[in-house]
Amino acid sequence: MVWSEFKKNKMAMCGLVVIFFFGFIATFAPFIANDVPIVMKKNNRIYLFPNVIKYSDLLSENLYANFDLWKPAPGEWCIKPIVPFGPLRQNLEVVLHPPNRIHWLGTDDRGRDVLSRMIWGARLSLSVGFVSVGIAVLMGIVLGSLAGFLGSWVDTVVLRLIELMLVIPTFFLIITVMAFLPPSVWTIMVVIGLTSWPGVARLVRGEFLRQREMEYVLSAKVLGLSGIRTMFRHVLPNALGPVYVSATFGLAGAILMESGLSFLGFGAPPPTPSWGELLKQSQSYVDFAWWLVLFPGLAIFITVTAFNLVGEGLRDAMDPRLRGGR
Amino acid sequence: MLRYIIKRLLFVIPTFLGVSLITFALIQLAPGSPVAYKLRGEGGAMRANFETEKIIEQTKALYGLDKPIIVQYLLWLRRIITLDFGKSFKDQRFVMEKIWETLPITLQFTILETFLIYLIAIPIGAYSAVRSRSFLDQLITIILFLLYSLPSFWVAMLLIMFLGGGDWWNLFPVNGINSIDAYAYPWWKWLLDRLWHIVLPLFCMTYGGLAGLSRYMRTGMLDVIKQDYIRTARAYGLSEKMIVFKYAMRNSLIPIVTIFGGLLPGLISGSVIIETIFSIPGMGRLGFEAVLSRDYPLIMGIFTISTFLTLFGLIINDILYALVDPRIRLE
Amino acid sequence: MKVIKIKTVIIGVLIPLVLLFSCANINLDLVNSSQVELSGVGLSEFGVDVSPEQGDWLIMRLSAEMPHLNPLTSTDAYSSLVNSWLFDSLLDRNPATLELEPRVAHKWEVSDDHLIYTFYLRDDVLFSDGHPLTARDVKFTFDKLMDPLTDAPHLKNYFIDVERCEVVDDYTVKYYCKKPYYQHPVMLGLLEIIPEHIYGKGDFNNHPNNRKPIGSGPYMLSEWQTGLQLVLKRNPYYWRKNEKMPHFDRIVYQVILDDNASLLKLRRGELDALTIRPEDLLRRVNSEKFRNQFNIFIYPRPAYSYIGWNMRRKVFSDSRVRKALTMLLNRRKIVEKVYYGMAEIIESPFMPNTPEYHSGLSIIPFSPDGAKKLLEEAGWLDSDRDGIRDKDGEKFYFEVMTTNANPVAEKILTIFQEDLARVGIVMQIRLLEWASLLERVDSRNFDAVLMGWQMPPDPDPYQVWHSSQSEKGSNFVGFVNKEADELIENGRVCFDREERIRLYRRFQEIVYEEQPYTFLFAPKAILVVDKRVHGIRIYPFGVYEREWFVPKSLQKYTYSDD
Repeated sequence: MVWSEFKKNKMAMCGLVVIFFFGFIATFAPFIANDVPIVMKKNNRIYLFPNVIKYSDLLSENLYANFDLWKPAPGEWCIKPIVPFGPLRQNLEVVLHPPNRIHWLGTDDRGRDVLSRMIWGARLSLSVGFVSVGIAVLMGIVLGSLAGFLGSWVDTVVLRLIELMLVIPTFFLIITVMAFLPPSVWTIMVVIGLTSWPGVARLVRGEFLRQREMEYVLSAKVLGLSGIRTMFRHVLPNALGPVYVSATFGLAGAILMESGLSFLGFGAPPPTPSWGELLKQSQSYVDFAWWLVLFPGLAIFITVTAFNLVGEGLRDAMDPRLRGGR
Repeated sequence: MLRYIIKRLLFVIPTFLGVSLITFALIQLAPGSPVAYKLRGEGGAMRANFETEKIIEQTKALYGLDKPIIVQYLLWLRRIITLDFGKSFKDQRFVMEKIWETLPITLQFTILETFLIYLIAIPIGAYSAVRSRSFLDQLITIILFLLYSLPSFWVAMLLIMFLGGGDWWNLFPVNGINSIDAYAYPWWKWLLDRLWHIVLPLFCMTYGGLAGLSRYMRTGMLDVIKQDYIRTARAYGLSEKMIVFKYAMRNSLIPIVTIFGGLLPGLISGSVIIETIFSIPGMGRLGFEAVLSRDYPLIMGIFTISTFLTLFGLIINDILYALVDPRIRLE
Repeated sequence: MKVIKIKTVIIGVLIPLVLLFSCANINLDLVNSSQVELSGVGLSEFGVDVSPEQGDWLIMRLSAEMPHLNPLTSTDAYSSLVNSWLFDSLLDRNPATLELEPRVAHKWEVSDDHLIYTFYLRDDVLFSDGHPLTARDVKFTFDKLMDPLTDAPHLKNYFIDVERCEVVDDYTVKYYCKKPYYQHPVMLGLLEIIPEHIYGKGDFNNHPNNRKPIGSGPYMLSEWQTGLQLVLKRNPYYWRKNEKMPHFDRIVYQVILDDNASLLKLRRGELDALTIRPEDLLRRVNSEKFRNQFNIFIYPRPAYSYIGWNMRRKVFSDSRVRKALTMLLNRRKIVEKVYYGMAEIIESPFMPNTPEYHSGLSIIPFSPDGAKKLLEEAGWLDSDRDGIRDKDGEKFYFEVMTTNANPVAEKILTIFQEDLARVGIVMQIRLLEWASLLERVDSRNFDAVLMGWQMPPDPDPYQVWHSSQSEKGSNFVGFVNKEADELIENGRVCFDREERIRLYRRFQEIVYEEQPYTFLFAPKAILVVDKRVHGIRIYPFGVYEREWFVPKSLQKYTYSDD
């Protein structure tokens, strides 16, 4: 029912299509933008998908680090992805070239292909979004349902915890915590996740409290079903609706947060490609390297908009009050 | 009601203790020491002989870092009770003095920002609700979402580039909050000068907040419009204008008013990125730099104030709710 | 804007690399079209044949605001910049010859054992509140500095070997040192003097006058708008008033954090002088308007960057490996493409183009083949055929750290990373905030680190290179070499510069052989100054704003206090 309502919302559907598009690009990044071929013939042997499988005889030649220099000898051949540049591959001869036939979206300040970095950057942005929101939702559901279900002192403790998270400015918490942890994409995901669960927890707790008093729960009790079973079989699924909505908005927020952190120099360690990192670079060339400003900015903007539209669509679809218009 | 308020106020104490202890431990355990920062921040490389050790020890003692963390924390608590926030490591000025110096700048931005958001978002939200799912409603939704999704630092960069007197237009200043000779201006000119300076950063801070509030308003208004008394009003043949402004709008403002409490902490925490790009000496940068330079007393001072504001904001929220909506009882 | 930086004397001033590299890259098309012209762009002097005149303002940028202006407790570069206008020291360093010259002291004597320094003060020096400057103020400054309650650890540790200061009479002061050291006259002579009658009362660290400084320099603070700007006006009591010093009526420092914003301000005529990034220059060097509006000066900055190898780690214990790593860093390419020619490759820790620098050391070329040979000699082969070199079961893997505030360091490292990977070495880049980076370096908990040192005139390699400093001092790479130790120790008590240079040459040869650092670059500064400002000269250690002036006919700001 939610889905059929959702389908009616054209903008939300557009958002969904955009997300699937970016998701596709992110998943298949090694096949779309890479300097490692998809199929190649070398040493009288055909290698299938060296771009995702590390073959030991190619490793032993240290070919993976040198694919840009490799030219097929007679009898050898390869099929490269449509964007034949690796996201990390630098070429100091083509530094900061505007978009052209070879580099469709231009190159950055180390001669890396911007399109390739954007494609791999989608991977980072989306995975940061999904993983951190996943962590937040999981923590939120566990803590929120515990608080709502058990009540008493557990509820008090969880409420204090939520208050605590609200009170500590998130941004400073993130920067401080990052000083402790080794720099990696995972650190960023975990830290964003750990700081954004309270919203979900409050939602879940609220739903539990509301539904606890509802007739079906009471009748289940009368029928002698165990409390835990009722709660988790019936109440929790009902409480998840608003969680989906808030998770979708959370995704947008996490992607923005990641780009902001990268911009301030607290992002994924170099040379990891990310949209925020490209924007940070563009700061030095803001008045002429427009391709470094425009494309990553647009990518962030479009993705975030898409998630927001889907979230809005979900909310409308789930909210019976809004159904059927005025 | 009174009992509830007292109970909530009492709860502030354990939360504050928890927050301050966690923050205190967190920043002290974070790698990097303020003494090393002072020694190396700009100044010299160390001589590693006995006397240098002595200087490090001296400085630690001067900063009160020679005691165990828990003792330091208790000492800090004792001073906090007398509202003594201590001195910043960076320049040995009083933490409160530094905060008081920065706060008005941030406040003027956040208050204006809040005001603008409310001023613009409420009519938009109301309109969207009245004309729900119309073409214009959808258009507004799209525009607001597009704005909401634009990274503010990106917009700031573009604004500086296009409007800041580069190769395009020279319309707005790009740094600070006043002209260099503004102190000699008459008050009205000074005010105009100030406004002219804060237009760009204020825009960057404001546009993102419109979507949230107007959506909130729209939902609330839709709720109200569905109510029986509106239907009754329609049945009585009251004009649509009358219904919307006199009944629907007023009642749907209630939930909006109640989220006011939640704005308190936001008022004093500025935006680090926007403040950096536009060279504004606000709270965001103060806190950011304090964290980076491990200026423990300053960090703790800012955290303490924002903690109290947040907690009181939450309480005010609950009370407002109860006052506005008679169905809610505080227990 | 770098004035000749003389306060932090001894070698090795570890500065945040933000200051060190503010350079970046440029569109290749622009590069090709303007490279030839760039070499001819920088002037070496401007308007030096006109006699100086007084009047006008000089408006410059501060890229961060200083917390306060106290010559003893301020730690940042910005406050020492401003303090140099507000305070006087006993001696001055001649920017051209780098010799010490009279300032507040008109004469000074050194005992034969180099332990006692006597300074004879002028009797006409007044602070900006009209009080005379006497020997007691000099002693007060020194005593206050060494006071355990004074928050000045960064400065204190230079004066450890100075025993005490003694007032002989109103205008004579004597310093007693524990050990002879050729840097002592520099340190004692260049310590900025604060008035006892102002700073003697109350809490020194948080003195009200830290924000309203009173000194005997050419200017006094007129106004300080926090976070926005500082305005300096003439000190009415300045002792060189009759020599028509200083030139400007006002010196204004505007606090502008953002590089792009400050360039805009400069082009709008709201700033008179600014150091810019190479790409900013390249974009505008051919613009008629820009060149009509500004003079451009290009000069070496007294600083260098390096990658330090932690020699305690097994991978870096062999000098052949360290040399191979240097050979894998394409420094010429980086100068060309990252610095856009605005940097010089160095091979030793001394300022290039000064007598101390050993010009006989040839630049180690970029040579992957040569590096491979050295690595194989040292036993680093890919024995398990996985594309990564290894030795005794340990893979050639390491982590290099640098600060996250410096985009250029990151660029250098990613370029390095790729060339290392090509020969089977894995390098991980880790960006840290400054405080965390210091912690790792101080605890010796790192593999390699990219940082920078400032190079003062008359450097002393002791702190960075002496073996005694490898435990806790600044020799964090753990460079231990007996001959180098002896050379450094002899240099410290050698009072003849020529002789010292001979010692340091040999020392540089050892460092070159051992490669404890891979030396990177000494970046150049690009200074853009409004055309009306005259009297600008380039000196070995930068420019000297005190000489600048604007001829009467060109003056722009007329307001003055006189």
